[in-house]
Order: sequence, then structure tokens, then C-alpha cells
Amino acid sequence: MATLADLEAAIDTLLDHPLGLGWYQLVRRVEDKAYEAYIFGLCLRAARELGATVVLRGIAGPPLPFIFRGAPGQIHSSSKNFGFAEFSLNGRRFELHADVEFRGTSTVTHELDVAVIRGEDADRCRLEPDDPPARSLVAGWECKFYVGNLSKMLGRAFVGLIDDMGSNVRLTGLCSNATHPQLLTYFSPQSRPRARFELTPLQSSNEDVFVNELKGALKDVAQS
Amino acid sequence: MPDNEYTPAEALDLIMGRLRQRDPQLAGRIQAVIDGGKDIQERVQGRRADRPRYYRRTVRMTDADALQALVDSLRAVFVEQPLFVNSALMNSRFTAIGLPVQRQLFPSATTSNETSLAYEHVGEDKEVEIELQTETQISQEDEQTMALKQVDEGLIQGQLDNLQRLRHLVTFDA
Repeated sequence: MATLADLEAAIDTLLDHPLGLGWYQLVRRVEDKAYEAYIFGLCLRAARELGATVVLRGIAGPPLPFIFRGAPGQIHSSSKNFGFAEFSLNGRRFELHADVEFRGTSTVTHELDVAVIRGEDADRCRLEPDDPPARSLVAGWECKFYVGNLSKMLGRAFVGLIDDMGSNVRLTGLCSNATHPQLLTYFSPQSRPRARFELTPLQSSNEDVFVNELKGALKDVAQS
Repeated sequence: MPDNEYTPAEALDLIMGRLRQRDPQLAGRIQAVIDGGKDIQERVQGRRADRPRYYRRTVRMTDADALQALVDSLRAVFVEQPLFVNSALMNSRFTAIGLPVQRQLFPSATTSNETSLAYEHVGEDKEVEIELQTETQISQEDEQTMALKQVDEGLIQGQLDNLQRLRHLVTFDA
């Protein structure tokens, strides 16, 4: 029969583990960004699985190290050598960015946590500083790390954001390690972003769905 | 199901108390998850005697529900977080670093802004960092960036085992 002492020992073992509170308190401040980096990595995998050579670059030179933005910013930023990835498919060049701001069709800017952009538009916006226009966006995701159920507000806000990104965008979605039953319903109409919930390495089939979906969208754009 | 000497309420009190003592911020986040309640489908008798009607309602979690939500939350921070880091680093291994072509003779590719790049370091670990001191931030962080470090798979498995043990201890017969 399990006693309270057993339970106490179990929680202490968990908290005192090398990946327990000590580790978490170090990484807590980047937990959202770590999730974005994870989704960014799944996008790298999708491009690689399509046979593309994926190259990591920095906006101001070789990405040594590769730096993810800590907050939304401009594609032409001069504060740090932020990283992005570049690849070509069928002669079309694409770039993968994190936390870059886009100019919506309303001219209001919007941040996308992870986004695939047409390469020529990205180049132009770095050379002649500007926010990439909505039409440059191929795919974009909001990425949310949650310890509990997602908030419905996130879904409503993301639908509004994507509505301002025009009709060129092929694939959009809200990715999270968590879920929300009502948000699944909210995102179910075909015209809405996809709900990519419980997207974590613990659910490899969900990773496969995400990667295959992006591969399909990239193939469509590369062949169009 | 384990035969426990304690009730779900006692288990919840003990674990949340320990968390509050050790990390009040994490405890607060988990308490908010628990306090958010859960959606249920309520069944009532419809107008037609043979057809019940269902409606959605948000209700308080039971102590047993709260314990499961708590363990799920702990899994997110202690297991999923290191897995995100490892996955990001693993996927970056298969990429190349684009370096100015002067650094080596070949292979190379030319990008549309006419910068000739050599592809190097394919299959090697990449240094990946996350910005802490952001562009617009006035307050000063201790460091500009934080490096993502590969986490030992054995340690992650150890935490999964610890979580499984905890979940077992807080699972009660209905």
C-alpha cells in the first residue's frame, strides 16, 4: 500500500533530478522559444526530406552561432546576426525564419513564430529594409508551449492575423504541445489555420503529419 | 490501480505544497491550469422521452482530475522541454552552414543576392542560441543569449520513469 511518504519521495526524486527544478529554472525564460526552435527544426526536416540542401545563414554573415530571436523583429534587423535557413526546390528559393514581422494586406505588421518565405522577397527586404509583404508568405505558424490547456483567445487572434495575410499563403497553423477540445472544433473549417496540437517529440505521428503537410505545400509552390 | 493509504485531496495538497515551497512560479502556473476547470458533456432528459440532450459545461476538476493535470504539466516542463531542445539540435545537424566562398574552393552555390556560399559542417553539431537581450529591451539581461545544450537521452528517460511512478501513485480507483 502506497503511503504519503512514498508520494513525497516520488515528487522529491522528480524535482531533484538533473532535469528537475534546477534545470528548468535555467531554461524557463526560453521555454517558448525552445518550442519555436523545435518547430523550426521540423520545417528543416521537411525541406531535407524533399531532397533540398538546407543551408543555415545569418542576416549579417555566417551563423556562428545560429541565433533565434528572443522577440519579434525585422528581417533586416542590425542588432544581432539572427539566423535563418535557405533551401531551393525545383529552382525556387525559400527561406525559413523565426519571429519575423510581416506586413499584412491592411499594412499592419504581424509576427509569425515560424514562417517560410519566398527567397527573392526576403532578399529584397534585407537589401532595401522593409517588412516582407503578405504575398511573400508561403507558410506560417503560431507556436505555443503550454503547461495546461491552450487559451481560446490564441485561436481567435491567429485566425484574425492569417485573415490579414492575403490569399497567397499555402499553409498556416497553430502548433502546441498542449490541446484544447473547442479550439480543435474552431479550426476545423477548411479555410481556417490547421490545429497542430500535441505536437511534441512524445507524439511522433503528430510530427509526421506536420512534416508531410509542409512537404505537400512546398511541393505545390515549387511546381506552380 | 494502486491501493493508496491517502486520498486524492491529500496527495494534491502534498504535491502542490512541495511545489509551492520549491518553485512558487511553477506552482502558480499549475494551480492556474487546475483552477481553469474542465469541460464536460452534461446529459439531461430531452423533450422527447427517448432522446436525451447533451450540453457542454465547464466544471471544477475533481482532486483526481487535478492530479492528472498536474502530472501532465510536470511532463511538459521536465520531459517535453529537453526533448524540444534535442529535436531542434538534431534537425540542425543535417543542415549546412553557409560560409563565404573565399573560405574554400568547392562546393558552392550562388544565392540571388550574388553572395557566393560554401556549404560546410553538414552532419556536425551546430551552435544554437536564443536571444535574451532583445532589440528593443531597455532593462539589462545578464547575458545576450542562451545556448541550447543537448540533453542526455538517459536523463530524459529517467524523468519519464519518475513521472510514470508519480502518475501511478496519484491514480485512484474511480
